[in-house]
Amino acid sequence: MNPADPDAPPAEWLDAWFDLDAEAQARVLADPAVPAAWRSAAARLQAAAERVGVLDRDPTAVAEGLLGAAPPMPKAGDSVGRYFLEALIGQGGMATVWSARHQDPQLPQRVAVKFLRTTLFTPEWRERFLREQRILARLNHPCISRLFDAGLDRSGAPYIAMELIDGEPIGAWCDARGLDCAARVRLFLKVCAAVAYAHRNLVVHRDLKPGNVLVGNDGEPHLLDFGIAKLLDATGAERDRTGTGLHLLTPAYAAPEQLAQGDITTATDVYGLGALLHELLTAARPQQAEGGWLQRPSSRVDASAAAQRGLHSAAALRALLRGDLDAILERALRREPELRYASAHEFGEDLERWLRQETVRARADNWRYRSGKFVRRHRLALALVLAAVRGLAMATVVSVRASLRADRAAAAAVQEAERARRSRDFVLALLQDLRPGASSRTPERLLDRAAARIEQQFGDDPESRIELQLVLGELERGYSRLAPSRSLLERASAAARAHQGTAAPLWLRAESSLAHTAFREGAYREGASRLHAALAEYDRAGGEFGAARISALSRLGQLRNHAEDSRAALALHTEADTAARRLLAADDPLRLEVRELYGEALAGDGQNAAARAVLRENLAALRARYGDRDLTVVSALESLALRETEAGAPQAAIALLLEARGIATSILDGPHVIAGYVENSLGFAALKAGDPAQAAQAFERALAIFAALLTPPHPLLEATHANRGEAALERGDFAAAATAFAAAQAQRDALDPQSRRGAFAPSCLAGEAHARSGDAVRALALLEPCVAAVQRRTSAAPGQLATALALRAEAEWRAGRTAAAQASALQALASPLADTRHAALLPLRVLAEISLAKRDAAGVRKRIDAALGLPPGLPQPRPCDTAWQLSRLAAISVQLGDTARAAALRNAAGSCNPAAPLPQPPQ
Amino acid sequence: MGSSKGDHEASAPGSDITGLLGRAGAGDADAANRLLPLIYARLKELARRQLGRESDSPSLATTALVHDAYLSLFGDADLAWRDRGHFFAYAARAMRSILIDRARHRMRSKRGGGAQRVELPEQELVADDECLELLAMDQALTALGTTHPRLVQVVELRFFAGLSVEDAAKALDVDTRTIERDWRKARALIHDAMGAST
Repeated sequence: MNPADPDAPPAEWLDAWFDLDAEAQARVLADPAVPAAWRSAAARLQAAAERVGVLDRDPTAVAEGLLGAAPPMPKAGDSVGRYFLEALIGQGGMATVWSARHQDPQLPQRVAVKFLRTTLFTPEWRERFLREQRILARLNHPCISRLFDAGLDRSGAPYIAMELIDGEPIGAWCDARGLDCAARVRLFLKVCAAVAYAHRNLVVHRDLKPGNVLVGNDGEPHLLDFGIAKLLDATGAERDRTGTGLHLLTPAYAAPEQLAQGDITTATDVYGLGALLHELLTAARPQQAEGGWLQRPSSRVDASAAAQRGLHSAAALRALLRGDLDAILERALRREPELRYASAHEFGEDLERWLRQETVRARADNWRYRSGKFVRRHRLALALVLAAVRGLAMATVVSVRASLRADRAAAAAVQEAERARRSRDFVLALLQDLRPGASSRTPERLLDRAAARIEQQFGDDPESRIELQLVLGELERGYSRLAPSRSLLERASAAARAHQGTAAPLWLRAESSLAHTAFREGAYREGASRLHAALAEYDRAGGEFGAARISALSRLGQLRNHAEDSRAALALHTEADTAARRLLAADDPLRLEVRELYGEALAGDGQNAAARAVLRENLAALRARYGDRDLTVVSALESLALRETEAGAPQAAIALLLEARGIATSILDGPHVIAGYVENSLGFAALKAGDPAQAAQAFERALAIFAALLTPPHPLLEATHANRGEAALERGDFAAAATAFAAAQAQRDALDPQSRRGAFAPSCLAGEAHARSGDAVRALALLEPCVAAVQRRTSAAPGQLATALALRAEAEWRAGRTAAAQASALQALASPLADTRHAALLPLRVLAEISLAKRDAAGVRKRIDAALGLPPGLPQPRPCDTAWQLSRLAAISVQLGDTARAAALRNAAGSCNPAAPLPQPPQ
Repeated sequence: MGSSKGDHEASAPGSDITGLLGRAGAGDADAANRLLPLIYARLKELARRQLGRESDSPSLATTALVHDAYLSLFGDADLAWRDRGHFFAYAARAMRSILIDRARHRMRSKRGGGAQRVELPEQELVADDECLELLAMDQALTALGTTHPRLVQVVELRFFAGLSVEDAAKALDVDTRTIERDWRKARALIHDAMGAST
């Protein structure tokens, strides 16, 4: 910030800006009336304020660090938390480890207490440290060393108390016993299972290496330090910016994305497991060759490695590893996380196939990737094919050899082969329906036939049937066929519950999907309460903490957000988003979807700036994932545009929405609810940009789309009619406005009271329209109950009462009831300020009109000065109305000869581009 | 923590230094120049004593150091509240010098610079990059002084002397809201300047 810069904002202005809350700051940043240079200076400071730096450290910790007040070294006999220290058993760069015992002699429990060295003692760090440890403490698996508790010792240093494992590192243990490769793989499978268990509980180890896997006297592997890296890393991104990295990785075993500081997910542990197995089998650490390929594991062995594995020569070990094991290791150690095994579980399964001498999947041609291009050409078929693949076709690579084996595995293999055959037939039949000229090519026909085929072909295979019904129910929703969608999903849910119980992710998925259909139906509260109950039941039954639960949280949050419980919504979305980032890859579709809804929840909670940042970032991720021509991109553009409009940047919003409309038109072949959202948001942005004629057209298009898709009554229809009314008001077409608001009110009256949103009924706005058109009697008949309703409703936002009172004041004034009008206007001024500029101006204008009639120049001046002094950040959804009111005040000033104020008012009136002439003041 | 009244010098040095404080507070630059080294020396002395002691309370809170320095310099002397405020402002500046000198020294010795007498036990508790960041912050703070002297005082009191918002407000005779706003503003300006320099 250069103080000599003539464009730089004055210090007082910056002071005042700093005093605003975050939302008001954002509004100023978006206010075109503020000089651009001031805004960009403030925006830079805002960005700087969001960075975390040395000023955020605990001053005491910094001073101690510099002046050298070392925390005392712990010594034997010291008590830490609930433990007495016994002996120092290990010391490393980041930690010292003590053996300890519980202070309660009744508990013989011996533990390892680990002191972590870190200088990052901010309060946020502490909070995250303690939160993370609670997650870790939930892990309870025989092969994972338990974390008992963690805390901060008296000097504030973090410590962790964990199960004390007496054992030997896994590599040394295997070597000492001369274990052969199969025995090593069997031992490793237990490690895999433990990691898979942790992943299901959303914990990533992050630092898998031979030293962290000890084999105890019982011959069982025990994983140490699960999630500890994350625990230490709790300052996350700030750390990277300040450069005070803790350097926790063990580079020889770290996944490429860890070294590149990319996203850490379960795939990172798949890599770590691969590195561990590599060393167990070859005695060498994995090494990348030219071009990022892994050097073939079988090429890395020597005679001593062979001898340790009970083989006579390096050639014998090479022969054993070559082929399947090479392929398995290469798959696990792929540089690209998405090309590795999808999970530790899948990795383990492939190793089990190797042990059973079946064909391993890593070697089989991965037809899913090859078929990708073909499938993209058939969008509807894509979903069905994927359903078949995801749910059923696990066995497409089962070899004939395996299915002929006369043991118990054979039965399973035959069953898998049978499923594969059926799913292939199913997909083929659908593709037949898709061929050009086929009579059933309309999506509706195709969907009906698919539903029938599912019943026919999978009647005796409930799991496959449920999977397919789920996908089909989602497709029906996509085509806005909400009744068939609901019926399919109801059936899927009931079947999942009957066959798998309430702890089954499949059942929760069906319930979430049903909730989504309820969302489309506008049944926000009903959908929310059903999903809430399902989620509670799932948790009670011990359902795992995976993708299904994340999806359910997010869906519930969306419903709560629309049911106007934004606090609860934000909490749900935050949990879903945190979990998704922990469990899912950066470009996982679910993670992106969850993130978009999280952004909307932030906006619903009033955190518009944060919401925009999230939505922008998500839009970029969606484009990278799906390309530009995809409905998810349309939805993300629309969502971001709405926030841009709210932040006072309607032109930016319009640009986004025109792009969204272009994409939607090119990929949709009929009306779609998302296209309706796009039109609706276009209307909003046009209104805000002062172009009510364009807005009116956009709202009409939105209404046409929604009316074609939705069954009235529906909250979206109410909102769209009300928006048409707003546009008509802005154009000065009061009769049309009154009709539109009445139509909105009719939708609202027919809705279940639970589904009604907002304290402000459309009838209030109809009253406003009547008042403006000069029908004061009808206006007052609508506005009296409106004021009463807002007064009754405790959940009404502050400012709504002022708005209602101001509308009544205007109507009373137009009815010639001056005393009542004055009383209403003064009452409005005494209430919390209206939350829109036009409504805040209204009582001031009415009072100025009354003063003018009395030739009370001082009274007029007082109101005009108040009008000019309204906060600059006040939202301005009706620029034309605002401009008209300010112009009217200017005209009043002129009548009293106050040209200076008149000029100031005209200057403040800003621009508006009404197709219809500006409304005239009443006589 | 630490020092009680019994710790402070018996020879009531208050009168002289009280006079300096009063004159410095009234804008006497010479008095200020003489005052700062006095406070600096006393704080350093207290810090060394604090760390040298076999103490069961190892933490070294700068805020307590500053309060101890006050007690040892003024004892029970009945200082005008305005002078107390001045003292804290000077002490915070002195604390800043001590800590920044320390960070500089550490960077120098890391680079194999001149053989300096090691006055305090050298321990590698602070990462190098934290030292670097601290020095960069100090530079940004100095630059800020040309346009926003009060913001600098707020950072010195809050960060280097570790004073609470309330104590800092008392020291500068402003309300806590002002301190909070100044802190936010100073933080943003300093981060902005540091971001620009890297």
